[in-house]
Amino acid sequence: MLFNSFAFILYLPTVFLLYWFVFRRLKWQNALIVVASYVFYGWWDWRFLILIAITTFFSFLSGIAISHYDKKSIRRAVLTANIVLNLGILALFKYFNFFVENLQAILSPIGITLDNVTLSLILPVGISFYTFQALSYSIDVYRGKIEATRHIVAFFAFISFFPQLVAGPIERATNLLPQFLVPRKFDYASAVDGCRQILWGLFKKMVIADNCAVTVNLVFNDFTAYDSPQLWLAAFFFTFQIYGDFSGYSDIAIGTAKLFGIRLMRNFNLPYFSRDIAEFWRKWHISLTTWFRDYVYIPLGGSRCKKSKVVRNTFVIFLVSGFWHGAEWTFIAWGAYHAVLFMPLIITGKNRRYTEIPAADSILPPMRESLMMGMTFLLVLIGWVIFRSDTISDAWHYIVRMFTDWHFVAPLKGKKNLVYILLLLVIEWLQRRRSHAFDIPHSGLMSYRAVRWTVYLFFAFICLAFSGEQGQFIYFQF
Amino acid sequence: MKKFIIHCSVFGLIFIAIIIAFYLLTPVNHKNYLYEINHKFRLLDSVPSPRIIFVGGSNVAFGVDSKAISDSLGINIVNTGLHAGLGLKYQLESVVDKLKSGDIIVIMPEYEQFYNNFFGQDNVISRTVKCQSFRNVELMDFNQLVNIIKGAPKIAYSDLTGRNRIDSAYSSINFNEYGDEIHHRSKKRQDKVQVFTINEEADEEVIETFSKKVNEIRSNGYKVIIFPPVTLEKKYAINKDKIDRLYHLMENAGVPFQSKVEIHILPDTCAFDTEYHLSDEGVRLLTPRLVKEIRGIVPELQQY
Repeated sequence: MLFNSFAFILYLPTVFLLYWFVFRRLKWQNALIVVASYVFYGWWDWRFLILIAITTFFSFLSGIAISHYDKKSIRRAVLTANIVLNLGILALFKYFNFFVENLQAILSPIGITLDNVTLSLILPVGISFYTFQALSYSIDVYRGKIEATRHIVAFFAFISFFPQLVAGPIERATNLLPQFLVPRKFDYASAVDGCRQILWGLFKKMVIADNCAVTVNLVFNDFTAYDSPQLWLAAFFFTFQIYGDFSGYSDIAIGTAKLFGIRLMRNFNLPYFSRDIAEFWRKWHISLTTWFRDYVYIPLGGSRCKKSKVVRNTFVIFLVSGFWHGAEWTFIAWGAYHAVLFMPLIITGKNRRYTEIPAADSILPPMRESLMMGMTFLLVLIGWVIFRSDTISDAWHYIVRMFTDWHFVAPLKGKKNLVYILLLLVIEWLQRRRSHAFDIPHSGLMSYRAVRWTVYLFFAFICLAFSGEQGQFIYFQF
Repeated sequence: MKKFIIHCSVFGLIFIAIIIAFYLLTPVNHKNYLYEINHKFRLLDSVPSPRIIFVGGSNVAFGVDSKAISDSLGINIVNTGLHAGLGLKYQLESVVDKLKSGDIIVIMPEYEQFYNNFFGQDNVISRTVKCQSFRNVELMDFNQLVNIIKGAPKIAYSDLTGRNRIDSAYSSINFNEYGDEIHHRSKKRQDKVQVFTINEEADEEVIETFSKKVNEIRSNGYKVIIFPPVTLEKKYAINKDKIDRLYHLMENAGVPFQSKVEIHILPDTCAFDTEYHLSDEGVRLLTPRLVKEIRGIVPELQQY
């Protein structure tokens, strides 16, 4: 079920009313969340439910087993078994054909063929998200960061919680699971804030992402037919399409969770106002970046080891992060590209130069920071071309054409999207100190309900009147 | 909690009221391209049978010379082709009620209609319903009604701000007495016409539903012919696998395309402004091929 679908408009209030009025006890509320989440997920294909149930059940058991045994070797063995099981499912459904096809390409020159080895499997939506969430639980239990839960319904609710099930944020057990173990109280202010965040998320998805998608698909599918200005514009639009799509989803997820008294972590923090690549990665898909930091980078030694190892660790985390997005060489290349950009910062120890809000005490950033933002944005934009292209060769040719096939002609397609993007940037910049763009303080004019409601009605109208063609969220495929 | 629910309900009602008010109270532009649907329905009511009724999107509106076909086959023609965004379901169902004994229906759906477009595009179907003063709404199912509602704000906005302007090539005044769009045939074609890649897999549910509808019409004694749409050379080159697979799926569903795709392939230079809109040259090339194909399938037409 899509957040921006009519079905969801009926589904959400129904679950909301049942949750607060009918199933008021904790156990029943958790049970409702599990059932509602399985309906939500099964809406795509009921067969997906089998996989998520397996992942959840075995992660639950592994937690109990890890906490039950004192002997480290047994605990480690249980953890390893659970990791192998979960990553095995992920590998089978997401990466098997990729490995076979590449192996085939390597072996065919020496006369070995692997006919009929590839599998015709559907990729369950959001499999990478809930797999990583489940893994974080068993690893945290093993590390002693969280106690294993024996409340199976609460655990199922934690893994399958529908707002963030298919595209994150990838929650840690330490943050989300305890919330399913204590009674939730309805909070008016939080629920209203959730509604505002949903509205902003819908704006980003329906107006920004879905409109940009039209031009992006047009140009990327036939990029040799376009001149340089149009290629730049399409790359620019994809930069905002993927941001609007993914951060929009996160906003809707976080806002929806607030309606149920659940707090999810922030997943995006205005990444396109970053002043260097390191800052960008602290602000883009935060739940995944910190996941890799905590469960891959730090166990490898992190940055507290020899420089050569730091370089290795950085490359590993970026390559794995790229590969997490899908079984395509373009994603790996995208990861490698960002690793290369990141490397000078980490080697010189300047990767934490910008940790504060940009222009915290002024309206606009200083010139130097503005230039840094522009440069970082440009580098990120080039990276998105690699990410969006069908093959590395296409990406290369696209980028070459961007810089070489320059005729000064006005781009033909999608110019109106620039207005929507400008609106997005202005609002996000003005609200950069807040938790989300529609986290509007009730002061000045906004202290009047009529004014606030007019603003919300205006944006709700914009979402429908200017929406592009409804599309799936890009990150579902990951 | 009570306060929250009351506020949400009031907000929702205000929002819906605003949309409905704008959607209903803004005037219909009679020159809008989609307003032509009223003319097409009048033709279906008034043109005597036997007749050939062309059904499809704008590929049919822009790509058929009905007079030439009528003269060649000696049968009346009604061209109901208008916009693929109406969705194949609506295109078929709105014609079914108006069929008369002896009618032959020639369906030429655009490829994309088998992928994601069966229930129509929200703004197109929403405007069409408004142009028809809500006639035929009873034919709509849940999905189509949702599309009408989703499209209403877009239509409300464009009507309200006067963005509902009439492009010279897209107006209800550009159609002839058969329902063909003729204005563009005297215009210069665009130099560069975009050809789209079909990215998705054909929706087998759509094909199944289409098959049911066609069989329903056939079981009522009408002849139904299914042709592929005009296909530019480049379109075929980049989508060959998808088009071949669609042929295969249609055949399996018992509603095969009744002519080879090669018959409908034309040079890229025959496109007027989009891959499905033929220029005058394109219309002149395609029309005799259609005549030949129809004659091959309905030999009794040769007696005329």
